[in-house]
Amino acid sequence: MSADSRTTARLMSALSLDGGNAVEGRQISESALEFLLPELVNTVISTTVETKRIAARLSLGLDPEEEPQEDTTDDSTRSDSTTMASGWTELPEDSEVLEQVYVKLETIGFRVGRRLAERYAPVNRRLTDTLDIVKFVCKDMWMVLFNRQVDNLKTNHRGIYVLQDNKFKWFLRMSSNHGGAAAARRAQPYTWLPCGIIRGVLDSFGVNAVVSPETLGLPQCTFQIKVVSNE
Amino acid sequence: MAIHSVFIINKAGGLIYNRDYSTNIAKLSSNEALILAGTFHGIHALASRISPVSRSEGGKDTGIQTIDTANFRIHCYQTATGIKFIAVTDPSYMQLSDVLARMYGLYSDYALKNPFHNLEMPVRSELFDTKLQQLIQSS
Amino acid sequence: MAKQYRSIGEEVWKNKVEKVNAELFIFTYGSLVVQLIKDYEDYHSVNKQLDKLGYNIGVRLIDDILSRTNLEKCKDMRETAEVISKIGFRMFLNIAPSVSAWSADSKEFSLILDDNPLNDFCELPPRAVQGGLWYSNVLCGVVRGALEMVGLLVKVEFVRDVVRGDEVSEIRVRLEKVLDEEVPVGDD
Repeated sequence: MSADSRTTARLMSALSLDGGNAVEGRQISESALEFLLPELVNTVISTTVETKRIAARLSLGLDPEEEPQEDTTDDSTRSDSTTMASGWTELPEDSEVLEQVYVKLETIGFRVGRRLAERYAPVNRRLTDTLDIVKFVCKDMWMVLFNRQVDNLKTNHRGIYVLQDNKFKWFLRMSSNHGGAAAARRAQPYTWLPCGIIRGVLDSFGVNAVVSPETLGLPQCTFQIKVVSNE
Repeated sequence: MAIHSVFIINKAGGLIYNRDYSTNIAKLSSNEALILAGTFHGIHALASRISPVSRSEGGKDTGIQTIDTANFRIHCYQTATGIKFIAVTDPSYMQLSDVLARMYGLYSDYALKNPFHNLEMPVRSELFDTKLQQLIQSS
Repeated sequence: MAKQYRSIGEEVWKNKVEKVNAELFIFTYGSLVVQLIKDYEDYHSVNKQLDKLGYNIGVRLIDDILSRTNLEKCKDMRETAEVISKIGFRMFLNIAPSVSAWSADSKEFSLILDDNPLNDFCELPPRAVQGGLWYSNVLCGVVRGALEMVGLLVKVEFVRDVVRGDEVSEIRVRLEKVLDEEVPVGDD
């Protein structure tokens, strides 16, 4: 691709002139995303814990850098790689930190949802009815996100929609010998990102909503959309 | 069934997975299994040291690949990252590298890509257990 | 040599990899970078976090490559560079950066990324450019982590990036040390 056409492509996407799904998307390996997600979650958890630690030290008038820092990656010649082994980062016990982790992951998802909606909004019809917009999430968006549609959509026709995915893709590699409830708890942050994505998509169509996840047992997952009245 | 048991050893010699698939093989205590893993790891390293052809001279895997006894055979496949996949089989099993390589594939799909799995730590995953069992049964 | 790796890489991409639409990945990464900038308000710290995140990916991803390719151990850095480009990058991002600018001692080379998917849709604000953000720094960490697991300690860094206004995107890789494998590890 020449620099010119690249710039044009970028401009078009910024202005979203290219009509969403009319553009044939680039493909990458699914593994790339499978490797990115856990580290994204771990990064958000560890940076939030770290920020809190620094803030706590500053508020006490202490030098935040004095305490032994967590491993930085500066020293690339170090040989004991096991000290930096990647792995599961436990959810923070501190409920305030946990809340911040939730907010950050949800916000990251929200931005993704906004951009995906911009790319994939139907070109030939305008979505105005909330049910149609939710169906768009269940079918079109779910295909883009997870290569399948949701298994079940329920609504009480008073602003609550429940999306059920029986084989939620981001749960499919998750397994432990810790039993269902514990695994479901550990899997929670992986639902906060898609909650944000759903809210972002809805927001793009002018629907203001609260989205909350529920998992009875992996790999099943439901997302409840509660429309917040704009009036 | 001809594959009696499977061991996976991390690059530091720690046992990170061990399952038996037949009742014909004497059950090892977990301590004995750890010792077996550590010992095998040690002699594997020594073997590649005494190899007359070093890796830098184009030698392939210079460690131990099989150990034969009258009643069983131990097969080992070491990855370039230092993980060892080991299976204990009937002596009639001459070649197992394909199966061991497929175990590596399962490890990469169901341990490494499992967000709950910690690198270098024991593999605790029902999904991996099931997939491996299927592979063993079909081999 | 390069040809052989190119065909392995293509074969893996065609037959052994589940492919998905790249946009979810690209937007998710971009959104994370935005979040880190908000958290740190300092682009060097963001670079460091992205590199660390990449490292943690790399130490796992290497086994995904090896378990799907049955590659022989590389003889030298020139071979390693070809594998990184033609197999590593190809297998995950479906690109194959060109390898160039070898140092005289053959320990240092550049990966030129003509078509980095992470850069799709990315327009850096001037502030980020001035502040020194390397938007795709995760890639450096991935290469570093992956090579460390096969005993190659390397220094990896971006030196140019089109989203910063440079002509090309260039990652510089330098071999610092080769770890001796097969050294018996002491008793625990």
